[in-house]
Amino acid sequence: MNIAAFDYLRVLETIPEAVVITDTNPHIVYINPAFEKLTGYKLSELKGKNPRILKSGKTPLRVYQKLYRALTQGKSFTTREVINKRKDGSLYQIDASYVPICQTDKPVFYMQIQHDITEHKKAETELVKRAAQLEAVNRSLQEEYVKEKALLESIGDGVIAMDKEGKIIALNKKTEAIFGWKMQDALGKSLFTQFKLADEQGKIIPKDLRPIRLALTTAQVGHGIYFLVKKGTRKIPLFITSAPVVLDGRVVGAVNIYRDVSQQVATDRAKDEFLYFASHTLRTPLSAVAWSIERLNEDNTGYSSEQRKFLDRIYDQTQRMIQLTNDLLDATRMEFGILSYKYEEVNPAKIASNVIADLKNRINDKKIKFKLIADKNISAYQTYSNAVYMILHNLLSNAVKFTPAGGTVSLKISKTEKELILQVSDSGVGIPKLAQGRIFQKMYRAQNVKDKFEGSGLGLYITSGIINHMGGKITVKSRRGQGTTFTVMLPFELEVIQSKEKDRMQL
Amino acid sequence: MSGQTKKVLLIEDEIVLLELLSDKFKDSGFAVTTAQTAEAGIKLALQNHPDLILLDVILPKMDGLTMLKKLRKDEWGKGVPVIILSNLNDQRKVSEAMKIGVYDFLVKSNVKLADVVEEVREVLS
Repeated sequence: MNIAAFDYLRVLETIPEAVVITDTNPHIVYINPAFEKLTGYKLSELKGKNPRILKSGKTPLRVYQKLYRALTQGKSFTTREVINKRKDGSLYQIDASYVPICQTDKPVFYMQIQHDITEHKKAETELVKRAAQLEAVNRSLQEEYVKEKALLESIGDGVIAMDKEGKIIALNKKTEAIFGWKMQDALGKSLFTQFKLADEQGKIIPKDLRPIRLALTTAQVGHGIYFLVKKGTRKIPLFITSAPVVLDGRVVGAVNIYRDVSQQVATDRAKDEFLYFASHTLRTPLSAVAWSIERLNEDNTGYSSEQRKFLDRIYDQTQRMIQLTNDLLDATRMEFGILSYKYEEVNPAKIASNVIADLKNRINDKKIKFKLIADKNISAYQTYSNAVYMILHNLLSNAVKFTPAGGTVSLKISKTEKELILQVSDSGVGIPKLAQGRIFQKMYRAQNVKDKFEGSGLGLYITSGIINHMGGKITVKSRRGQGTTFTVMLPFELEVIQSKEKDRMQL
Repeated sequence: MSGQTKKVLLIEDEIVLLELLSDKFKDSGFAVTTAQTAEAGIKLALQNHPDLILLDVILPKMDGLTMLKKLRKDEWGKGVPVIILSNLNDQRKVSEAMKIGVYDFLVKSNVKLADVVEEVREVLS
């Protein structure tokens, strides 16, 4: 077959590319079936129409400018930027070639070969979108990393993360400072070989008793104060918290937090030293003076009445000094939170009779009529026995002190469903109305007793502090010159508050 | 007092207090031995087998409660009555002493010499 006689138009009927041919006006003169399929138009609908009918308005203007320039110069033009409109209004993007068909160098027709790249473009846009998403994820991961890192770094305590064998997998700057390591040297090493811990006496803590063991083997949080043993330096007290990292119910590692508590330990030591000084060092000479006068008084026939008076005065003032020391000790222990409470089963009536026995001499000396009324239905129960003793001792000795000779003091022990009620009444000097709100303050002493009675102003302060510690309440009713009644309510159910002692080292 | 003279051992490092106690107990008819350290105290206790020991807590080297624990391991020392006489009155120390086994825990500045003697008589009667 002669190729020249081949009907080229037949070719256009069968190729998959959409083809549209316009004259130079330009009016559409031909579209092929692929074009019909792509756009939804029939040849009959488009024949003689300007191709602008296909424009979507989304194609950048410069594309048409370039196209126009090329075609008028008789050149072909290819673009992927044209977006056209179908008959139904939907848009499609094409890969288009515009070819002038010339006769004697002058274009007579223009042929457009269009290839629908909408899907391709969509995929491309999708790709770009995905890439952007990935980029965003990446960025947020980076941010997360920086945040975690910053968080870890800015924590003022040393932090070490370990795997389940105790191998160090991460640590922060503060850790480096506490232990004196470099991060890269410690990573991958076992926590147990990296440093040693000791107790306060310097005895090395065995591997199995270190807090990390508890975290790794029992999945519990372990903590306590331990001493870091470092060559050539003092021991550093560290409060260590070791927490397990649990994944799907299994311990996969642990995180240890190290807080340097040198300051707190020093403060604790100062407290202990003060208490030791006050209780032992201060009271020893007082005991010596008191006992010496007691010996002198055993046979006082040799003294004049004036000498006797002086001796009594020395003895009384020594006793006063002892009482002040005792109050100071109790108040200080209470404030430090290290007043020790003895938790045991005891009948409050039994405690009351002990207190009364201790105050017997003073009660008898002043010929005070003392009444004890105790509810027989109250039986022994678990409470802070020494605290109840201190409360009763303080209130009753105050009552005896502020009641004139021959007056009455009474103690009533009763109960409600949930509370023990202790009521101490006296026929004493009373508390002025204005002073009633302040008598529980530290070292406050009411005007009417300040000069006539000795005291530290600590008794009621300690008493109310103890009552508060037990979750109870104390109220006062008083009229000047007519006596005072203190009512103490103590709950039977004590929340056994863990004393600070428990958090301090138990070694 | 019934029968023969009762023997008390006083362990106290403050010489002034030790003298006051010692004189008071002698005047009250007791046979008195004294020690100023826990080490000397336990030695005297195991040698002389006193009827009662008055024991201080704070002592120069070994403290009173450590001495008490050692004493309680001895066949004789298990049963001898001990009264703590100290100026420490921290409840923890009191509880610790009570757990090891003492008759009482007296605070020096809160008791008269006469009270101490009376309590010792009470234990030994």
